[in-house]
Amino acid sequence: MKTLRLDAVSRWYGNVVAVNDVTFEVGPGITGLLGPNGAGKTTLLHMMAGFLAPNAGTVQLDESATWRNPELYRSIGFVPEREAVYSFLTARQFVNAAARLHEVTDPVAATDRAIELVGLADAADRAIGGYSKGMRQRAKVAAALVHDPPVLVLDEPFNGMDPRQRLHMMDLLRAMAAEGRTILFSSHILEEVERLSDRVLVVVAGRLAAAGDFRRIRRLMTDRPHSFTLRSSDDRRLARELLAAPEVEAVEIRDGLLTIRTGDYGALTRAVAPAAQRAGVSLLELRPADESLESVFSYLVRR
Amino acid sequence: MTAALISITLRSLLNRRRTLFLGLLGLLLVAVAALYRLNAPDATESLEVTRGLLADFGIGVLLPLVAVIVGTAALGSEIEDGTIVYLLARPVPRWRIVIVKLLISWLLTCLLVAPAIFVAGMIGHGDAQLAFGYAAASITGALEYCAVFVALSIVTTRALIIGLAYVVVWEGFVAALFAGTRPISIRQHALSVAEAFGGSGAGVAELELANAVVIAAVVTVGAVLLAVRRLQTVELRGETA
Amino acid sequence: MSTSPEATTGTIYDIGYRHYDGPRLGRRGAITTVIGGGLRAVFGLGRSGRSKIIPWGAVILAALPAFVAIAVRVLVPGGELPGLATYDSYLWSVSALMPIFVAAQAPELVVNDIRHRVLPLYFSRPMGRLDYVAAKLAALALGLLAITLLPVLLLFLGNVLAAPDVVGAIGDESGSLPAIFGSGLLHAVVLACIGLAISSLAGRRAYAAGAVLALYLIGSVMGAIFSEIGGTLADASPFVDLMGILDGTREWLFGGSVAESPVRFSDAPLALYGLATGVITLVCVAILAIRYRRIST
Repeated sequence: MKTLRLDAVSRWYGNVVAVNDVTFEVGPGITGLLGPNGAGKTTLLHMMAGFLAPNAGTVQLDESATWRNPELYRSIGFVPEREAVYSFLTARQFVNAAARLHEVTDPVAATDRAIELVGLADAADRAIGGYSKGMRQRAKVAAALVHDPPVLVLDEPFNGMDPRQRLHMMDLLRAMAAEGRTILFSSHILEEVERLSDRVLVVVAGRLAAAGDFRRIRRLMTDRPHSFTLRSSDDRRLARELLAAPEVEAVEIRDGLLTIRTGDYGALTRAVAPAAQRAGVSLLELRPADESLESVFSYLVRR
Repeated sequence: MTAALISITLRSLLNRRRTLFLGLLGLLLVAVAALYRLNAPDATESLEVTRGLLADFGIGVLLPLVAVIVGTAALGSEIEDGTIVYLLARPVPRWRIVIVKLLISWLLTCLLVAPAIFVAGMIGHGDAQLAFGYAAASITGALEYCAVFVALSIVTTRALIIGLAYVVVWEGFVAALFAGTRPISIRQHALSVAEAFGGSGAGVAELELANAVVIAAVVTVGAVLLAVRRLQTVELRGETA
Repeated sequence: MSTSPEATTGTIYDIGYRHYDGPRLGRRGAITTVIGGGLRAVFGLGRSGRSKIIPWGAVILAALPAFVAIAVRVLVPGGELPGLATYDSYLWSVSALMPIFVAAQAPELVVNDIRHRVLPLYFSRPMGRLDYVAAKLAALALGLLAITLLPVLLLFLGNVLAAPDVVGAIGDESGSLPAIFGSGLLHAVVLACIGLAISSLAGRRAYAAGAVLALYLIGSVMGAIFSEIGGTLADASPFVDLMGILDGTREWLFGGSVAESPVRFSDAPLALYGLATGVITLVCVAILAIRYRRIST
């Protein structure tokens, strides 16, 4: 079991505060670190990977600090965002060197395994300098997991990958998480985080804006009405009935779609079925309209 | 683990046309000596001229140029393009990284400089001891130069320019004008070694060998310690904060 | 997810973008701008203090002796500073600063444009590729004049103004003016060509600066060694030293020998220096032309 712990961590560069009093824990499973560009994601990840010292607070993996601790890397695999790689090495040489630097017992076998896992087997013997961006990302990931680390930290890992490569990588990460590893990745693309992570950490302007399952976070956003879309056998009649309920703040029919806005999520869900019954209407579909990560995110960012 | 370090360093240092350029510089030294020899000069004159050639061009230009280019590239090129992260994200003790980089750059510098100096010395004056003395000086000087430049490359991103400025301005102008600064000039340390081992008539040095060796050792060890310390606390910010 | 009206219809908003229909400066304006920007880069204007140290330091160091010489001449009757007796010897004593200036500033003009792939921004404007090269050359040469021409002019002015008979002094000294301007221009233009040619081939500013410095350093040391060896090598010695070649050309064109110059070690006819300078300049310009024609954007 490997847990990354941040406790009241701050980091500034001169006048600019990159990370502002952040506290969270990352345990086994996949956690997505989400935030706009410049929010401090890379700073946070670099601190967790031992490449930056926090100016305040502590960053730890289990009980040991990450800063100035080369032994840390036996338990962590880090995939940086920067594109630069040893362009004169082939992927196999690169991953092999990483394996040997990690003192893996059978570097050649580990290298082969890692390269298979990321799907670079055919291109493994060409120089990395000639790779596409997506292939380079995969080489970096292979080098990061060649020593079978229990913790993987990836900074914008899907950058430059085409959809097929992205799906492949997501499957890989899910498989690794299923083995009990702790995986933390950052992204500013909502769809990736939504699809892949169990938990989400939202960082905005250096502060932790929200943490946890994004659907639960949505429910906590009570000062913003939830909206639902409904399809029924008679939308207008249902709408009239629902408008009578105090929980309903607004009702809208447009293009054949009935949308309801409410401030009280729970109360509305309890009110819909009886309303349909009273109106003598059959309910066909009830769908939360804005429970996506996108709406959560845009709410948090604008706050 | 060390083998992997060595192999990566070798691959990255040997991979450019700069090695070709540096090799050509060494050949230039030899060519000048050969050209000179074609004039069939007499022994006393050839001693003076060869000595001047080896001291001014060999130790004064060839050695520091090669050392600054190789030494700042050994670690500096990885720091500059960011690939150092792949080296640091491993459980490798930082002192081991510094030592390996230093030894490899030292070895490469010696290979590019010492044979050229030895051959040029032999061609110019035919005295094996003179040639050997200056070659030995280039080897010890290379160690000191490389140590300083490797440390410099961790401390600043402009190590190449600062190193060149040191060689041109400090060792070229200042040390020539102000005798008091000579003890702190790497070139002078090397020249003392040349004088001590080059046999009679080899000397152009201003420092006693004992002093030179002590100062050189202090500088070298100090540079290595500084480099290790800085590498342990190097911070990588990434491209976007 | 939005169901706002705009999503279904489609509108373009006027956010103030205006089309410009007025007069445009055209090619000449573009070239002038690049020269102006280049001059600012050469002197570190508009940048951090660190980038001003070398250019301004060099200019001040170069001009300082002129002030000192004038002071000496005014305060100490019959006093002269060695190395400043003539305009030519002054130019020679300043010549060590020129390669340093070029090594530091030529890369600033050229390397980053290539490295950060900014060239398309230039080439998609009315100016052509060779216009760009010419403009950068002009900027560097003009900047170099601050070291190759300005200090000597200052000395001239000082001599004239400090003389007991100013009007007569003007008459006397102005005979040297063509040589002063000529040598200054010569040094500035040739060094600019060399500096830019080398810099355009380098991948980073540090490499370019290092290459220029190395060239100068190796040349001057080799020249000194050759001159010691004697014989034909001594005759060849000024030709490997960059500043030696320039000084020889100056002497050929404008006369006036300098005692400390490596030209003294050689019996070669002065015209050869002119030839060497011509060849070097042509080669450098060719390098620049080919390099910038070939660069893919």
